Amino acid sequence: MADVFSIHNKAAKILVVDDMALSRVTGRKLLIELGFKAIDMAENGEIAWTMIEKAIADQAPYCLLISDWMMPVLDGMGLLRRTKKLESENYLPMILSTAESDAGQVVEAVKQGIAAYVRKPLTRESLLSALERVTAKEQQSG
Amino acid sequence: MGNQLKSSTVIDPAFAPEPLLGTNYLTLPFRGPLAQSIAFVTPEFILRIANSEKPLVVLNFSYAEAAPLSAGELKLLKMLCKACLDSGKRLAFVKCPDFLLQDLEQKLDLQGRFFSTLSQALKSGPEQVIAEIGPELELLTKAVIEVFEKQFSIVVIPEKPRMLTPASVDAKHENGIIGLIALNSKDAVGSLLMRFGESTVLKLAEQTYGEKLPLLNPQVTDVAAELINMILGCAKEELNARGFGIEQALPQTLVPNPDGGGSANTPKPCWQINFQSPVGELNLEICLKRINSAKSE
Repeated sequence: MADVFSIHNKAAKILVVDDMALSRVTGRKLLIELGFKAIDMAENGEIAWTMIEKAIADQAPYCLLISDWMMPVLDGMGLLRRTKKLESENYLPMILSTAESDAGQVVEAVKQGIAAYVRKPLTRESLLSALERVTAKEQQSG
Repeated sequence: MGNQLKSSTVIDPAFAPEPLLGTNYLTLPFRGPLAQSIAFVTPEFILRIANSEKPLVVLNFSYAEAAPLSAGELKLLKMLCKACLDSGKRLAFVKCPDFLLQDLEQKLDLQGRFFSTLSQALKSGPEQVIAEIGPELELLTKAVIEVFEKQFSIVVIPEKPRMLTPASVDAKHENGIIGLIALNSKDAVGSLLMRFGESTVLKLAEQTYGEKLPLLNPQVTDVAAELINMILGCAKEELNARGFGIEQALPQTLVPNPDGGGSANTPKPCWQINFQSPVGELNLEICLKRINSAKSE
């Protein structure tokens, strides 16, 4: 069963998904700066999904997903739809990381059920703010 | 018959076609007998007009009233027109009935190269690009500054934008890579391109990944595509608020051949903005044009 994500749980297992190495590595670096220790990376939604399923099978599921929107093979929204079908005990909140600034498109993503979004380029402050929003949501629903 | 210029002809300086500068074009007002004005079309004069930054040259004289030009005068006029066209300018020949314009075009061997009214010339050319996206240049410049500051904690300083025309000589670029993204919608068409010198992109990559990587490593080439994606992303909301309706697009990285082949360019005319940076050479090229403009003449 997945741990409920909390910004205070620095052992939380996090998966960063982005087809662009720059953003993938930046996301990981910032999470490490914020004290998190268990961070994996994937290049697209399909690889991420394989890693998510394996982690569940290994009884070491991820607590949080930070995913880009536009990716080849399986994009962020496609990955979100799959994670929504996971058993509730394996619920995996997603932060959408996007360069998109068009409010309409972001609102649409929120309606689809992302836990938070963060605009690229990622900064320590913007990522921290998104992590805090997810923590607050998890605490409310917990 | 005709205004044959003879060596004894006194050239009246009043007939010199001193260029009048409009916002986006210059006008050569040929006054009085054309031949008198043509006498001032010296090689230096031609070079001066051809090197002008204005993308449109308007030849303003009443051809219908001018006496037929001699072969020598036609040759001078042809040299002037050809120099302008070769440097990427467009030519408008105003106050000239269409049939006479065609006659002149034939005599100059420049068929179909002249606009017959100023409004036509302005509508179909780069002047609309300039007028259309002047305010947007500032928006995109700020986006570049913001992205580099947030992503790399680097301050980049924009230089003055300059317009590149089809005949512009491209600045010599260090071998490097290009991040390119299309700016397409039902309301606008264009592209956004950022050139990174080789040493520039390698330094940015080293800062990100903590190790020196070769130029053609995918992690390095990703830098160009992701940065242009972020730059557009920063500016997009405001661009769309201004009616451009830019849709999502996939960024690309292009690596020109070391021998110069395969170099990518935005369609010309376009705006180019160089940026000074502590990591080296950067420049942005922007081509953006409304296709459903509310403006019409």
